[in-house]
Amino acid sequence: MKKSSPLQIVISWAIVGLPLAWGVYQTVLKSLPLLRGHA
Amino acid sequence: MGLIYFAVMMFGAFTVRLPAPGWTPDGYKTPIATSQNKMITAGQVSADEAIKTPQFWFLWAALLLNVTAGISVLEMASPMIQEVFPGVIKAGAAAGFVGLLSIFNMSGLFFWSSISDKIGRKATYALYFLLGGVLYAAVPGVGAAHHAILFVAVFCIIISMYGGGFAAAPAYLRDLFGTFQVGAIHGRLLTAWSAAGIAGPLLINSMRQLQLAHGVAPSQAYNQTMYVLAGLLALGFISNLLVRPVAKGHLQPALRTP
Repeated sequence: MKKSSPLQIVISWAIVGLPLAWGVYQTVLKSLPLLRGHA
Repeated sequence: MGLIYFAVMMFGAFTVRLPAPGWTPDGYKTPIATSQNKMITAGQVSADEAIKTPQFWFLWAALLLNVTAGISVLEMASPMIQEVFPGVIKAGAAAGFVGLLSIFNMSGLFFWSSISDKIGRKATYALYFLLGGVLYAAVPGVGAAHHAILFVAVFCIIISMYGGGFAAAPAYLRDLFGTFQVGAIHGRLLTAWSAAGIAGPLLINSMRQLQLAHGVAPSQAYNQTMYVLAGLLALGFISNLLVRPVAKGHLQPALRTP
């Protein structure tokens, strides 16, 4: 059975993971005031 | 944005492939207990036949009620938190609240679908309705206590179950109706989502307007709505409880297992 190359897997994860991680980071930054109970 | 969207979608479309025949993940063991769980059918039901079963409509109602409650929260999240905590939570933080809900919505897709693999779809849905009902009913008290962090936490859990309801639905359908036309059955089930998309915002906005018209303070205008949403989840709990294994008469004759 032909397996996907590690490079292909890394690229695939990067295309999905990097924008996702950036979005989650930005969201957490914006929501930090909520966790302090004021904004 | 359009170009980025196009590129990502094309990448996904050309990357997704069917696994080779007979391929299984490392360590995968073929389930042998399937026949012991009566909620998992060994037969196959067509899409036309599925919508003639009470199971489909009980599940449809359960999804409708779960999504109506969840979509109402998404609809009102930003104005609600600003009105419940006037002068404390402003527009910027309210936007952060909406973003946080999106993260928990997404996390719920992973978390609750994984839970459903362990405890079963029906039990997972029952948990959504029970826990969700309790949390909705707790919101007015948490708001009155001016506990912003707890308020945010309650809604994050609630919205995770909104995502979880979607995530577990295809597996629930597969368990009940088999894989024969599960895609088409799922498409029919998602009409519940469309209906909830109309009902949820309509319900929440009209109830809020009614409360304000009766002189209720904006910070408390959502209290009654929360109790109504808890009531909807109680109905959803009953609907889910009524889902039973599909009668053998609905199975595809050629694909029916002895």
